Amino acid sequence: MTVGECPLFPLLCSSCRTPLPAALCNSDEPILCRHCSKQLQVELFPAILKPLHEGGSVGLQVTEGEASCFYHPDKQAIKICSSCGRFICSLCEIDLAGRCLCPVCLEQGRQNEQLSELVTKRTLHDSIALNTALLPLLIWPVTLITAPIALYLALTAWRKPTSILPRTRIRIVFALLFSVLQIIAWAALGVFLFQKWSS
Amino acid sequence: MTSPAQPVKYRRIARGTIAMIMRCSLWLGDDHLLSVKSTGYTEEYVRIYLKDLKGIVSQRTKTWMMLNVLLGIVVGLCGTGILSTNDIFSPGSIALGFFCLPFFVGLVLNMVKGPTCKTNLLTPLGLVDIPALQRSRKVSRLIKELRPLVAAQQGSMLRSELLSRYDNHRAGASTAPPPTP
Repeated sequence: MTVGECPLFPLLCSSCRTPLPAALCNSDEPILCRHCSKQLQVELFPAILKPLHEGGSVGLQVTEGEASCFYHPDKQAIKICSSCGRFICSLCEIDLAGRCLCPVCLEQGRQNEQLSELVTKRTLHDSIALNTALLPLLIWPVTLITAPIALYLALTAWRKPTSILPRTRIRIVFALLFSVLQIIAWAALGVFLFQKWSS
Repeated sequence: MTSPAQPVKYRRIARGTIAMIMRCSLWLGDDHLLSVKSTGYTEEYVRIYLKDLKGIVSQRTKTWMMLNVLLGIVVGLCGTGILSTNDIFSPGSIALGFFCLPFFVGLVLNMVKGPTCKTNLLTPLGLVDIPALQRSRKVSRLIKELRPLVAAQQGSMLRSELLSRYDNHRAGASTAPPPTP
């Protein structure tokens, strides 16, 4: 099957799914769908010309005197893993943010969360610690229990991975500050009550 | 063992809210876009690499007009109430003015931000909804910003050539005989 016969990505109106004429795209002016009259702005990039079901290369068979893939001894090695240095074939080659990795290094990096490019979800421990320190102030007697919890959360959040987006540690600092202040306040209240009771 | 890579530097392009609860934002990295949905305690990431980006489809919505009408009605009613009194500096008028102020600010902000839209990115895996891109003006700005970056990843092509080749391929695919088993 040639590229011309392969189905391309369909260009449809996102409202009524009617095919849109490509001739109207990539203009800075909005276009009107002929069927539903919705205003659309469509920008196409050269990757739209790639067929939908593009098969990958299966790799060349190794011949005498050539390096073979570490994982597929019958395939010719074409790259070196930038992490472990093993020879890998086109089947094993994984391009990730300009680096060439083998599947094993990729899996290890994903499990250890060392490859930030593979992270799809993060828990914001600093926000949890700060809210644990601040929100219970609305019902202040609860802080007797929540202040030590907030202190523990803030201390443990310092080492835990946080958002991959730009973010400072100011929330953890505030969580530490408020939780320590609450603990000091409870301690002072305890001492005051004890002295009053003993006198 | 995989060595940790240099952290990607992101620049925020747009942000918005989903159902007034979840926050969402769109960030631009070196070679990809990052769509983030956040509850405040967790963040979910979707990466769209520029080399795979096939296109952007943005559809105008009626939210902008509806918000303008609703806020305009409230501001108009309050304004009429204030102007119809004999003394516009009376306590009642001032109270009505304070009540009206957030709606007026909302109306001005909504008008300045421009028409609303729903944006999808075309990727090899289908349409990816980008909730952070809720204003047409931001989409236009993003498209202008992405053109050179995508050209660097995918190669540049004249608009007429790209569109004619796409139409030709599409026409060829639709007229091609079905593959024989």
